[in-house]
Amino acid sequence: MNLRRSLQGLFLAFFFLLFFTAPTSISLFLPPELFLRADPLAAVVVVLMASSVAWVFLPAAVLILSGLLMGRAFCGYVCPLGTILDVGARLARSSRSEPLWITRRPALPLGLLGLVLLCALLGFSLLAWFDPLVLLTRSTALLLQPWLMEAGSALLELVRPWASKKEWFWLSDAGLQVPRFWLSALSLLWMGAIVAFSLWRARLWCRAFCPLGSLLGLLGRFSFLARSVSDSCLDCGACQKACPVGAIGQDPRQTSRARCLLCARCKEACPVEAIGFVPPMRSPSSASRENSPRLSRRGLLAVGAVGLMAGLTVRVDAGRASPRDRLIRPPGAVPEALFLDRCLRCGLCMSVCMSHTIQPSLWEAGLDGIWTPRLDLRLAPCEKHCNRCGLVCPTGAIRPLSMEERTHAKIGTAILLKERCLVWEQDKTCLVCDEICPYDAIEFKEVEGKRRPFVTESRCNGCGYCEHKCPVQGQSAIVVTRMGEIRLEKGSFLEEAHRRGFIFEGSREQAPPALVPQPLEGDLPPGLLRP
Amino acid sequence: MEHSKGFHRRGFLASMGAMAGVTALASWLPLRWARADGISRLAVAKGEAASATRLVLEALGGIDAFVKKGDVVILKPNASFPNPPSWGCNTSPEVVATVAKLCLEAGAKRVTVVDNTLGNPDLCFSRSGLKDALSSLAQVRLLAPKQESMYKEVQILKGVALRKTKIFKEVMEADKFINLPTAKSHSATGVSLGIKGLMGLVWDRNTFHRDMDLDQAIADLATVLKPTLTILDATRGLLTAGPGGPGKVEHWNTIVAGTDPVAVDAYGVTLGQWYGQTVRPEQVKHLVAAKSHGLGTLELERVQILERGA
Ligand code: SF4
Repeated sequence: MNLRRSLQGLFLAFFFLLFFTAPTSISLFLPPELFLRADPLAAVVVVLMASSVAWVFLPAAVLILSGLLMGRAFCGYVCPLGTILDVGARLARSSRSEPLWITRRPALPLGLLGLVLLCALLGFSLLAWFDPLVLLTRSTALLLQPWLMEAGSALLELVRPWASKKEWFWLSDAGLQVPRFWLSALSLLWMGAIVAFSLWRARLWCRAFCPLGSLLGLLGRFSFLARSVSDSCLDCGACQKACPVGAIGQDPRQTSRARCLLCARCKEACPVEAIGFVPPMRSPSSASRENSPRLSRRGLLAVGAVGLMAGLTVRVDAGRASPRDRLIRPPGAVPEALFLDRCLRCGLCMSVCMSHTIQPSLWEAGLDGIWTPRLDLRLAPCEKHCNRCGLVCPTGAIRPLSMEERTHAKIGTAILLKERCLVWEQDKTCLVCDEICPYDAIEFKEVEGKRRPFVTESRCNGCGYCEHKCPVQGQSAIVVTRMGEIRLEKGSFLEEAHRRGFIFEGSREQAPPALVPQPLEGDLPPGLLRP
Repeated sequence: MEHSKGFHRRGFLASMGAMAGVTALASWLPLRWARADGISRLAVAKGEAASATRLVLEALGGIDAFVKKGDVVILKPNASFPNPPSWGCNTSPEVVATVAKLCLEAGAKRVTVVDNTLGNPDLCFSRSGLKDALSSLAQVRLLAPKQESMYKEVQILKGVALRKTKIFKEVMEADKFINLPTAKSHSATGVSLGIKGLMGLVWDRNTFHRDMDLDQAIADLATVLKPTLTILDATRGLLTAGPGGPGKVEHWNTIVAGTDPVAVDAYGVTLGQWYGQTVRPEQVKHLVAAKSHGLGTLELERVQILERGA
């Protein structure tokens, strides 16, 4: 095990450890979103779009510094996606150096970086598609975690009978909640393509696309450490074959710092120990010649045109102007426009959500809303006593709220669809919405001699327990819409809720009578015969 | 004389003994006949939750009358809502813990405390106080069966509305099944006591509300889920806004127990003013249906009530 591989393994393990301990109470003294907050690409994009949250990206200073000193060393030693691609390439014995059309265009990742930045300037975040840390975090949330849980619960089902016979109840009673997500196929397609390409040609993503790598390479143009080749070089070409990213030119003394990961595989391959990684000014004899990519004028034009078109298209997409009524954002989400700016689409909130009601959006929020979190309340309710999503959100797109504040972050209002309701339409004795409502917002009142359920808007928090539990098959007879949602960039949700006359705590008896409809005199539930 | 006197004394002792025996028999027999006659016995104890629970069981002859050494026991409290004990929508944790402890003392092999909670199980168990109350009892297992494989389909031969349903498997296999409901109002069935609480052992509750007459279905379910004993936690009563609350809560400091599930519930109905009104047991549709199934008696005048405590 050499140093590089050990470090790669360690950082990968650290990434997953942070990820999988996030929803539990295990505190590692480090935020689970650490990798994302250390991501300089995410930092630049989000700050371009919403400068107010620059401070959350303080950890990115470490990466910027490392870029300035050591170029893309992060890619070679730390990046968890890079490590996964390395492992994949090793297992698939994918070829390293055969040049492809795409790898012969060193300016391509630079162009992509330009596109990401230009679109950010125009208010369109492309992080969801191109930031490796966002991509890996989201793929872990939306694919790896569900896969593991599904496999785990299948295994549990297998051992359950045996365990209960043995009276190992810790095992026989165990149940794993399998998170299920919309868009799983799309998530798989995108991430799958990145991995598959890199199985075919090692680190193809890293050398031909990754805008984060390209940003680090840019920072590392004048880095402190660089590959240098001494005069003992035999021109044997072993280093060129060993290099996973094709950073070594026709002349083995040439290194592209924009690509070099400082992984030192070339050093291991060199038969005469001609290669060293040293500060350029102290490099032995013939200096490592630079071979850095530049965007040609045509390239620049192309990036400008594509970026402008993408940014403008998102701006004229109707989704932004008229988001769907059923687009329910997590409690504590900042106002919609700011939310779209801040959200990384990393999926951390979806992964930690206690009930897994938080789902990736497709078109509900418009073109640039893909993969932003929305609540599918028919699938699962939003738990009153849970504030995890805000606590893990790296950028404060969902604000970290205390339990009391969270209880007042109203996310919508339930509407009863009378024509579907078992009570209104079929005179059945159903009370499920009333029974389950954690905020006591459903009220039975007498209408033409019959007891009928109503929603008390001033108490409804939008949690969707009613929508989830409604026993009507298919579309629920009670649905939560965005009406009445509270979205605040700063300030107290509790105060705002009170100002607007919402009562989310305590019993009806404690609430000001004017806000709470009183049940009619002599009104009894249907299960009781009239005296 | 001495002799005869001695003889006489012996005769006297013997006749005393016989008399005692006859008295004992006399006091026992009517009860037997009475019970065969359909008259039930209820115990009602007043006091703080744990001590009242002990008292009520002593009145019924102690837990040993119900739980034998080596028994596998299922306890079914209501723990359906992630709300604190003060709201009165879940069974008091002290009552559950006391019964669990007594079962273990009586030699139960295992005690499983189970409810298919409506809310998130972790939240329900922690916020109801149940988890903490049971954590010190090593042989007690707390379970919210959320896997369908933990249920078994049961045919309900006497069912009028409900003909079959999936029921928590282990309750059908256990030696003893003790129902531990709490006393609360219910905006569909009026009250939710022991018999209504049995729905917490069923996999699919939705069909009860959607596809059939709810009150009848509850009574039908009770024909296949027959508790050894029902212990009603009426330390608090949730008189409005049940089953989840928050609503009007009264402190009754009462525990009611008996082997007749209908009688226990009937007594529970008389404890307070539901929705601000006096409700008689015969007004509760699902109890009337349970009575018609022959599951017990609704007429409290015909029930022997043993009162204990302050
Ligand atoms: S009425 Fe409102 S608060 Fe109550 S369950 Fe429905 S969405 Fe939640």
